[in-house]
Amino acid sequence: MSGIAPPWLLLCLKCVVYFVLVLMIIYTLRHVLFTMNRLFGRQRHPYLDIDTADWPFVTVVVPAHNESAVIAHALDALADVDYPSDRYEVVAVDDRSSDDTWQVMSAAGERHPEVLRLLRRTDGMPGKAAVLKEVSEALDSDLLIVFDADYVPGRGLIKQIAAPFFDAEVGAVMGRVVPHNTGSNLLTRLLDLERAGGYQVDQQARMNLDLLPQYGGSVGGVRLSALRAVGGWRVDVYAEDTDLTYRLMLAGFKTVYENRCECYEEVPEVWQERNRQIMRWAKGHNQVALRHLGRTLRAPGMGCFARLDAVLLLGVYLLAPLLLLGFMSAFALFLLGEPLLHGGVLVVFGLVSFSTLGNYAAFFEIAAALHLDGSRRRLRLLPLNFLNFLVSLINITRACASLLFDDTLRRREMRWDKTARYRANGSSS
Amino acid sequence: MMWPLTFWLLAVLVCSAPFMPALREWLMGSDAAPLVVVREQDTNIRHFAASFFDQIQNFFEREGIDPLAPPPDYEGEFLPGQRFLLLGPDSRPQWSDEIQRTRLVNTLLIGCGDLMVEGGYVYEQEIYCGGQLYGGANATFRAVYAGTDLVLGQNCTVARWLHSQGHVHIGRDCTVYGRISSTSSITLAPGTRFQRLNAEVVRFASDAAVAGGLNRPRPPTIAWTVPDTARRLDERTVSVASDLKLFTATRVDTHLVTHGRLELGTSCELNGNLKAGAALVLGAGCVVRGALVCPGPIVIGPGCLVKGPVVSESEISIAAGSVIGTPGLATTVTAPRIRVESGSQVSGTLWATEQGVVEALARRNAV
Repeated sequence: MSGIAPPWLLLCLKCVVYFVLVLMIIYTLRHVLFTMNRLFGRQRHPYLDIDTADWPFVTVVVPAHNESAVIAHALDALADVDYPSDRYEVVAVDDRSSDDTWQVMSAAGERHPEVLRLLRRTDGMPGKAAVLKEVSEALDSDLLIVFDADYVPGRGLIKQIAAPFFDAEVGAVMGRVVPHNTGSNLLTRLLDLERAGGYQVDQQARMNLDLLPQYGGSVGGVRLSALRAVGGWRVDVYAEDTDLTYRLMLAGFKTVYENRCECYEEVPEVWQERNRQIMRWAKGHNQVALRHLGRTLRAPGMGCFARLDAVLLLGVYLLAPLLLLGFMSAFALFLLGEPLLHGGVLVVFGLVSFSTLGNYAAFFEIAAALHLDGSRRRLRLLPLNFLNFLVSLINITRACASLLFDDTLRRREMRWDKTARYRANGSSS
Repeated sequence: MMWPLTFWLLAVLVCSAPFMPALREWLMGSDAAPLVVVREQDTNIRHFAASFFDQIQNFFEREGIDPLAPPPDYEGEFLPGQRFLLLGPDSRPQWSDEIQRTRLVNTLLIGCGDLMVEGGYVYEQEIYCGGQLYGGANATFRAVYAGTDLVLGQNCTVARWLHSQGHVHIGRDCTVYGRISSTSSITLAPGTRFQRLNAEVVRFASDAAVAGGLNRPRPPTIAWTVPDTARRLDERTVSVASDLKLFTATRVDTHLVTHGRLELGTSCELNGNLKAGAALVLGAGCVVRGALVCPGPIVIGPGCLVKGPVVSESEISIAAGSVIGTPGLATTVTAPRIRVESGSQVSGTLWATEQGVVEALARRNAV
């Protein structure tokens, strides 16, 4: 059957398979390094111990669109934090909600008039990025901390986020997000594993190695002067947080990850919601990759390893379509009767791609993260994460195709999807 | 026919083996609770002391004891398996022959008034004292709570925590692991090794040197000219990609970042935060109205005044006469290793994640 295919096609297919294989090996080595660093390397938490200081003025912004089920808990928790009240304010923004979010916010405003400021948007561009852009331009504060409406911060969290900003080089700080609806169903349990690997190992290792931890848009803060210096929030990108991470890096600022700065969030409980979320993230991340790849390669003052990792981080959401392409090419070669590589190489391909691409965290990273968290029995679920891996593989590939055909070629207008909430009114856990 | 079937069955069994515990965990949910994230004991240095105080107050209530008019000394059970000895004001514990022989006290001591505990013993349980507490030399304590002042003799060891509602005086060559806190002040004599200290004022022996440092006359300063090679990160932050040395009496009015070593001459004045990538050295008499941050060592020369946090991932040395933070504006000094010379003062928290040590005057080493 090998005779029916022209030699150039076979060569192309082989090149694709080898290219994907090499890429997988590079990413695997990167993640093995991260995991080894977390398990055996020197851990960096330099700002964790700052508990007393002349604290900067902090504004916490909570954008909300149809968040009546959850926002009261977030605002109550934010009003009760351990931070000097004369240096602290919470700005809750109702972004054209159609439910009774504004009423719930107003009630919270009456409970905490000393710290809580309420804003209601009825026009302008919708979406979190637009809210942050509008609010940050009007603020006269040192730090801007962003929380989503479903987050429930602990009392010490604001100080923990503010502490790294005593370092003049720090432009943004990211904390760890921990799902609190873990036990709802299989999906939430798998997402809990994925988050653990992504934060506990991946982000902290990048912090340890002085690479580029990613600012995630929630449970984190930005220095307002740095934000203004890089042009403020952008509203023309799906992943405004990742975009900001790279713009800060290119401007000479550091992003810091604080692993002990933990906050609960809700993760999607239905697969459709999860698919929409990961497609949005993939699209946004790839937009950022297209915008910043060239500048990252040319950025001054970066070490080779830091530059390489920043480039690899930009490429994480391109791996899924490439992997799919690699699998398809290998399958095509098999059908064409071409002696496809060697058996051993195929095994390595499968193994490497499987263990490297556990969505956000490689599978061995998840195992290490659970070990570090001391929650080892949930490790038994790891084989089922293969399901999550496959679903993400398909959806990230769909997102890449959509970014290419809909957003870039057809220039379709950006549209934000609201993440559904599952907490019942009045329930905080 | 049988062999292929057996082979395939075995293959399916082997491949599905990892899924068995996974399915079991999914269905049983034995570890499905969210990760516990709020750790009050991590962020509050007085957490253990406050918990212990609450326990003692509950005990007084349970036993019907008025701490101001306590019953005669008596022993009992505090918690299952844990004995206590209640002591009235000015009582001194009388130890059995066995305890005197082993020098090991395995009883929780509850003093309703002032309390004097004998030196040379190992106190394996906590000690509560409603008034002043005097600890004899060469004693080892698990944890101590004092209602007013607390004095430890020389060469004592504290294993977990120590808290006083008054002043704390720690004698020469003591080792105080864990958390040492006071609502007022802590004074440490030379030779003391520490980990975590918190008080409005933490003094390292001699007050005279501190006063001398603060009152040192400072020459007029000259504004720093930003070099052409520097990069302006934002309106208030300047970054220099190499080493930087500032001359005597230079004034800097921005935040300053250097990727190499940053060395300040004497009597410099900095009205912002400082960050150095390699090492940060302050000459004598410098004033920094911001934070000092460095992954490498930080050396604070004699008679300096630093108002913001001091953070190093390696070591901090503080010379005599230096003042970090002020009583009204406490701050944090944190590094794996902290060396403090007698005659300096810190307001707020010192946290040496490996070890801190108080050195006698003039035993200074440069980086």
